[in-house]
Amino acid sequence: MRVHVRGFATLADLMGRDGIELELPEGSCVRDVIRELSRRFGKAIEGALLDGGGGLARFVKIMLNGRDIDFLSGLETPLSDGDEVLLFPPVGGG
Amino acid sequence: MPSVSDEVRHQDGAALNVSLKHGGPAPPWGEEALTKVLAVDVELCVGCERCALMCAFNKYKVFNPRRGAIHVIKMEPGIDAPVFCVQCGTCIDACPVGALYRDPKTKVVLVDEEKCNGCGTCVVVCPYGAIHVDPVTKKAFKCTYCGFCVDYCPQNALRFVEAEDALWLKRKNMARSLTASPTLARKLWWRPPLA
Amino acid sequence: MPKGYMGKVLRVDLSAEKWKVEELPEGVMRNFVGGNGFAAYTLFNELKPGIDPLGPENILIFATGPLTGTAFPSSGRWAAYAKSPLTTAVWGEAHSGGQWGPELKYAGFDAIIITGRAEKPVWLWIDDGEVEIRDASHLWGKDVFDTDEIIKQEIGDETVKAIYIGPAGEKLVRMACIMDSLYRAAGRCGLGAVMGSKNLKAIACRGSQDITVEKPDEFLKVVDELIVKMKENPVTGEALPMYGTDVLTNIINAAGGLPTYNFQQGWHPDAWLNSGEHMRATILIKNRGCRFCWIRCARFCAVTSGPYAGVVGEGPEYETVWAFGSNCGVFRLDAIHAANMLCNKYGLDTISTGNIIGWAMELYERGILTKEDTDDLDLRFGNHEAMVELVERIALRKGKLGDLLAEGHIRAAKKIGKGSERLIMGVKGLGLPAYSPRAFWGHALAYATSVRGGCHLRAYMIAPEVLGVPKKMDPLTTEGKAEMCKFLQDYFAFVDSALVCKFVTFALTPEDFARAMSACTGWDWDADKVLLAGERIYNLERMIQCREGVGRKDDTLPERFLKEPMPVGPAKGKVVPLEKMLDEYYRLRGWDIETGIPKPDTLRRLGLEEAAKTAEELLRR
Repeated sequence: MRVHVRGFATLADLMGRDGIELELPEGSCVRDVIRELSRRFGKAIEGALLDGGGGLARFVKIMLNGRDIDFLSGLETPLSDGDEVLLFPPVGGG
Repeated sequence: MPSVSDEVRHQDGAALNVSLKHGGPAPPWGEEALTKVLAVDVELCVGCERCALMCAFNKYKVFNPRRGAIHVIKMEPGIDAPVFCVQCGTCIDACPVGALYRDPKTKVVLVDEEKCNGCGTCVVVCPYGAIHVDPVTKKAFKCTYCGFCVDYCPQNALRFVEAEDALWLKRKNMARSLTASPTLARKLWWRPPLA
Repeated sequence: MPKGYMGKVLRVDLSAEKWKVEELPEGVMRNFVGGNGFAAYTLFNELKPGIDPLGPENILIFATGPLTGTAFPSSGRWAAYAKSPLTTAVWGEAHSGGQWGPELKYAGFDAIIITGRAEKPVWLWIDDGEVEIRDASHLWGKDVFDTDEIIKQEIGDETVKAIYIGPAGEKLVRMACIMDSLYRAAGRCGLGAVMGSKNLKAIACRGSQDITVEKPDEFLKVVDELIVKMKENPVTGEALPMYGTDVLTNIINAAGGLPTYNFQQGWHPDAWLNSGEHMRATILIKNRGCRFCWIRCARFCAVTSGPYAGVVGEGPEYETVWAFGSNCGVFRLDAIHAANMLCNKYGLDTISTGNIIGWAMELYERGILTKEDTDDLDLRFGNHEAMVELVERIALRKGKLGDLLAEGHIRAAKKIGKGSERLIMGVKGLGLPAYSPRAFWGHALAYATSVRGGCHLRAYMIAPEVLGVPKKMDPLTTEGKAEMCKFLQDYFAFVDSALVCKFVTFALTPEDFARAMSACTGWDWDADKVLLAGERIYNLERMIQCREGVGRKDDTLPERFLKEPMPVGPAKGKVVPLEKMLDEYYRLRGWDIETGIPKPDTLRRLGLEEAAKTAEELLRR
């Protein structure tokens, strides 16, 4: 299945561009997206998104079709063909 | 384009605990180190004036940036730069009571507050406007390389640099100050100054 | 007298053209801190209910707090307060960064209270405790840039700090703001019009006095620890300096909450063109910071090509980008920055102006406004030239539409009729800012209950609902929202009274403030006392509006968010379940659930005896 992945702010810099298509096997989840990205773009991606224990780093936000994965099933949230995964580093403002 | 992300984080380990051994705020490096120079990367300066605020606080324990020995100039549109003593020593000979001297180890020009009578001759001769007579103590006050401004600059624009490495920065800054860039910027982008 | 404060308030009677210096009472410092608290205390005691906000009986207050101008991170701010001529909220309040706040303290004053009305235009010159009321006839009519320059030339000192109104304030445009150092604004609630109604053009300060703290070494130690927190926090330490507040555009759009086409929807595929990332790749020159700021989130942009070439200056901020961007269907940063600079030049609130232009655009597209009403402007969404032109017309009250919109939503809707008031995207007359209620329910509650009206800053619920600070909350639930909203309102009320920049709260806690306040004033502050003081201040502000008839009926949202499901995006199909959250909010606040008026018991618990008596009277009716 095909999943569209995009990074913002410092993550766009890290990934080199801000939007790629990933081809993933059926039954993949969000964690598999991160693994695939670090395979392509280096360990820095994993370091920016995950904490030491393999969970999502504090303040990092991953959105699946507009919903924060924390309110779905976290990194284990399953994906479907055509899903949009957005990666946000910590951001804030007014 | 200036890179804001480069070294936005601060250098660790510098003079948060300032030694007062030499009778005044002193440079934070060891006695055997090469001479270092206080330098600024002007493109990083945002004119926030924290350097002046903390300089005055380190010396007088009050918050009043005007009493600092570093002075932030803001000229719209968008020009920000700190001005500080470059330790040229012009004031040393000019002082009528010999209150100014150059520390032989650090090469920093210092004020002997016991001798200083607040006459202001140094203020007249300083080409940079970097020394002034403090209105409260009535003594001359100038940069002593204590390092507070370096520690507290959020942009890491102010740094202590090895004298050799500072050569290019000094020349570039001098060139900037001698050109018409502020006026040029105003005419190009904004509006002519009022007649 | 505790340290941190200067201990003095400047009182100016413009009708009599006289000024005097008063002591700032220690009781006020202890219980109301400064800033918002000082203004609430003063307005509750001195502002007569029912007066015309543009008349001489309005009271205009400028205030700082004990932490302002110290080494506390991001302490270079000030705020203005008065009865608002724009809103029905009564409580008018606007904060600004820039340069002026600390200088007022260095000049010897914690606050200024201005009453009456000058006969002809004047400006105030405060020079180290000495005050002059100077003739401003040569300044009246000048824009913000010229005013700044002329004042500095007249004084003969470029280092003086000044705040001023532009032509918009002079012409009593109800969305006019007060500007600081050319680019920073005390934007909301139309306080620029209040200043203009008093014939007060500017206030300039210069000071050489020291701000002292009770325990300098302890204070520096606390500040050092707070600075480490701010450096290590990725929002204050990296995201904001690099991308500015406009870093929010992409994430708010992704969450389906970027108000588009006058809040008709919350998402748009072109939103990235207005983002902080795109700004960095195109018009950004560098970042900038307000005085003593540790975060330096301000932008400095220059447009170098295209129809808006030559536009240079600080900004645009996220709110401004949204207001003149997706809200008006415009997806180009050059037009947005041009509109931003016009607002700076004339002294106009970007949020309220962009909001009202978006409203006018929807009215035009629905045929409620015709080309005859719009003085021939083709006000379709996306027409950036019309939008930029309309900004100037509103600022200068030019043409039929400009003059009409200058009166603000509520009055303009009365004249237009035809159901236009249903499409106002505002609460209590204050135009809503850049977050869509249907996508962020906690933030919707914040909009409905903020004392000054549709405001995102009294309780920035986006922090928990999007960023996860202080804890992560699902934006599309009601659970826990009332409690978090109250907590943030109380905490921020304290921050607005100690008077530093709210953005430090991404990294700092009430405990941090307590430690800094203790070392600064010598008094024994702790986190509970900080929140209690904030709660007290918030309740007193609330009473100022309740005694003039504001209550539950006004703590509401436009029908669009309560009845019409969101059409597209991640929040599709949602409306805001407000009543449920409101009931819980009143319960937690200790306010009467039917009227929204603070219960006398609550006010007494907070030590507000006079306010309790007023509440008793109001509840008896």
